[in-house]
Amino acid sequence: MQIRSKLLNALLALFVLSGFALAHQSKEVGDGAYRVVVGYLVNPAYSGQLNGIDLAIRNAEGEPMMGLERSILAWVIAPDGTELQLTVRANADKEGWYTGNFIPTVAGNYTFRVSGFVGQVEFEELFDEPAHNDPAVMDGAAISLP
Amino acid sequence: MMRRLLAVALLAALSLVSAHAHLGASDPTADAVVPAAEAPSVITLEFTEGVELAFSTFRLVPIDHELDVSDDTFAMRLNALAAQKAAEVLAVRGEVEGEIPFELQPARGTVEQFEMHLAEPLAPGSYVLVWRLLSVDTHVIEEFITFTVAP
Repeated sequence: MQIRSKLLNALLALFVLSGFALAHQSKEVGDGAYRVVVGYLVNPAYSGQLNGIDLAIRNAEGEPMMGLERSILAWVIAPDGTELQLTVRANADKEGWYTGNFIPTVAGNYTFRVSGFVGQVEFEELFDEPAHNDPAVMDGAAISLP
Repeated sequence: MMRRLLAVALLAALSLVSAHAHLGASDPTADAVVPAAEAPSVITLEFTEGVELAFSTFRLVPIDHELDVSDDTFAMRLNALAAQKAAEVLAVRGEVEGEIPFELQPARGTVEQFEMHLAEPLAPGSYVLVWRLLSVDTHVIEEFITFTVAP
């Protein structure tokens, strides 16, 4: 019974971790000193729906880097190339995560650009696959009524 | 209808941002660079909700750096260093090196605005003011601000 319970827990952990990996894109910065993780705040993402960047910065030990909301900048780039700078704030619901809201108005693939400083490290990275479905933002009309 | 739903969702998101006791205003302001002649001996903090002072901690610590104050990215760079310093300071109970003592006025109670009285005006340099506070809504909030007294 205990073995079955442990197996179920392991499967659950694997499921959660694989979901995390699929829904976000991560990049090393500062020669591996930090890892920047970016995804959509709301998944799946639909046009016309309030969404946001889901952003975390971890050190090499995997520990969350807190208090960086005034040290990092983030932009979302629409499929037509227009950019919107996001107001980055700490996510009160997820320790060590940051967000900034936006509403994608058309379906398509959006890109996030994140730059700033963590410790002594300066970085700027593009995240063009923050979600692994295509398009990343789907047409909101498909789930709208009447 | 769609627009109305969006407006409700946006308002809900904004209300999440404004909940709990976050810093509403301060003197010096966050990221301020103050001339040495105006170096503060009193720091004023105003929060968006009541703060339970008896269950809250405030720490004022200098930040060593060689950053250029005139650089456009000075505030961002300083805040990145301050984030590390703030985490270090909150991780220890005892006084850390260089920590600056002060008296809170009022010293107790549930207040939205209060003052930190220092023994003397701050010397030139950059500082991080970090807190772990108990909001009147029982949430624990950890935040910090930085400011600099110009040489």
